[in-house]
Amino acid sequence: MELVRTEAETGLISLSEEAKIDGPAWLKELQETARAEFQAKGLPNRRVEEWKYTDLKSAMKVAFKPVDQGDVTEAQINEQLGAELAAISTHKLVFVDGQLNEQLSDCSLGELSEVLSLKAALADDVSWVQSIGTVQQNERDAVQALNLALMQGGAAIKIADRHELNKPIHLIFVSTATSESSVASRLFFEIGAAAKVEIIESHISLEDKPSQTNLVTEVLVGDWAKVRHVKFTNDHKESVHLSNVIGKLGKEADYGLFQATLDGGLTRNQVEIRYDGDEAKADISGVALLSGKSHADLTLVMDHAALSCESRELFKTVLDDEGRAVFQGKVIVQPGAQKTDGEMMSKALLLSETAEFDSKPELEIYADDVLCGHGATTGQIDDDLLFYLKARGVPDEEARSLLIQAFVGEALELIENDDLRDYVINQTLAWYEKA
Amino acid sequence: MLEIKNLHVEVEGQPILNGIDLVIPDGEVHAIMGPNGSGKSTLSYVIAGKEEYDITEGDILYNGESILEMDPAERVAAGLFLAFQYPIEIPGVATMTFLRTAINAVRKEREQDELSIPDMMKLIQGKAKDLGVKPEMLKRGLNVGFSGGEKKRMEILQMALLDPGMCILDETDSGLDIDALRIVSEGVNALRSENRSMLVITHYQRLLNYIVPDKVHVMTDGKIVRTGGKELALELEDAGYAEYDEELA
Repeated sequence: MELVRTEAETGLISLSEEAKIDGPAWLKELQETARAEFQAKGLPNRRVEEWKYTDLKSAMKVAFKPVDQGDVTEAQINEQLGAELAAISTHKLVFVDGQLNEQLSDCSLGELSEVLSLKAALADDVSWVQSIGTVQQNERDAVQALNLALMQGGAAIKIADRHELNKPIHLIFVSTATSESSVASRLFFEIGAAAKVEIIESHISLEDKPSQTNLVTEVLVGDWAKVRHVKFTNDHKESVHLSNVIGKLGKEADYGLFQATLDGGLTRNQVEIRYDGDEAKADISGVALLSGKSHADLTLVMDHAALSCESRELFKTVLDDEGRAVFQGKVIVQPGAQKTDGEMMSKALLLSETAEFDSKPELEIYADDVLCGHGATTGQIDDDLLFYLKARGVPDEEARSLLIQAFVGEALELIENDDLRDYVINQTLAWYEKA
Repeated sequence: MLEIKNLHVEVEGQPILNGIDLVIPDGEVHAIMGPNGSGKSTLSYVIAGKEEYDITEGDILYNGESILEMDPAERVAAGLFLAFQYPIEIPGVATMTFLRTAINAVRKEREQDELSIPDMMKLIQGKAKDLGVKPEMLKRGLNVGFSGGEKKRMEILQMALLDPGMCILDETDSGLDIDALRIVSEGVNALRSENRSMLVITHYQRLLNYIVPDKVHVMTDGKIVRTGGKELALELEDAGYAEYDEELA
């Protein structure tokens, strides 16, 4: 059967033919396989079950091209981050147009921990980076395959056993493009046993041009290790941001991922967590505040394959104008994964009649001694709450702002780092004032 | 001074208030008593500016000016305050943050300077102490997990902080045991002054032993059917409201 390809698909296929990252034979084979997978599948559309509410094929008209690494200074980066975020003391890892820029980065994490640019790690065939592309348990989808086929940069980060980082790692993705551009990057984390690390992730743009990002983050979390990852995006309204976080948790590992999405064009944050060791726990939470025609999709799979593991998910979405949010959460409890404890909640607050929220929670349980629950709610600002605040002299606008803050606040409380939490709170406040 | 003139109010086409006339001069405390469903709470909401009520006739004047076109927040700035029968729980809004926001919003509208954070803390903590509101309550979500008595104390605290000229207390006694009733009433009595008037709405006479009114009005079927001194409350306590219902029948 002959496939009818869209302009974007044709463009992506030709980009994948040009994209060649130096590396050993296994890498070339992996990329070739991935390219063939994408060619066979094409961009996901609404007939693909997991992409029912986010029709990438029709949303993505053309494929933007990647650009060479541009010039940027530390001052420019700090200006884009804003004083509040720039002031947080971190190990900054700066990715300029998808490439790790070692001059702008602080790659010395201490002890035996390492940061390598993905290009260098693959060119040298560094042994611990050979697990790249294998963290994933399920079949790759078209977007994940595309990332493998297109990846032109990123980093491999190894945190040594028992190493507790003295300050967070700040992943800063900066675009210098002066016109439309694309980036396909991959991050590979190997977190050692009993290590502790905090990760902040920001995406900024010097020229504020539309971009297409395809980012895959693979995380191997060692036994007893603790990871906290907070990601913040506020993309251009014509951008496409496709992110995958694929994690595998060791025994008693403690993993937290918080994703805050403000507006943007089309954003898909996909998360797949495999519980591989007993008594591991993960908290995958976040907030999305969407106005205009922003579309944000959060799709997650929590795959319990070990005993007594815990999963917690709490998402708060605020939708204005024609904003649209999608929540798809699947909790799988494999046979034998007894004593699994899973709780998933997704709540949306609609500020306009043209906003839309689609929620699809799923439980797939193959063990009998488990505690799993999920819920989803959609509502508007409660008139009684609003009247109460106004009856205390708080003007309408301010009262609404307080109630929105209260709504997202429950999720924001989950950000453990005080400075970072304050930063995200202030960003949400600014969003409301603008909306 | 609050003047209510021939006030007619409907909800979804259903008449609730049928011509209320009431004047509360500065410094006076009036009580409205009446059976359930007589329109007492509606009157309090209409004065506070809740939206779902249609005022079909009449007017409400505060210090000589009609308040009907003002939104609820403007009415508070003008000096009106309603203590709710059922204070609302707002999880995620810290009580202290809310109090600061409310006080500064009202001060701004009254063209007073906003208070600095230390001055604000001093003011709030001082008044909270007088009313026996524990410091940890100020850190919690507004009214979340508060007992009935704590919620009512929080209402009176807000009343004290917003410095109103006209206080409306809607069934402030409901859900209170005798000790809580005494504490809340003492808080209210401490706010009585020459230039502050009050309208106390209650079903039972009990509250009026503590907050002694200058006048008592009896309301049934959306109308004030009788007005008297404080002794009228005692009379109602003995005879109930049946007599007035018959009058209307």
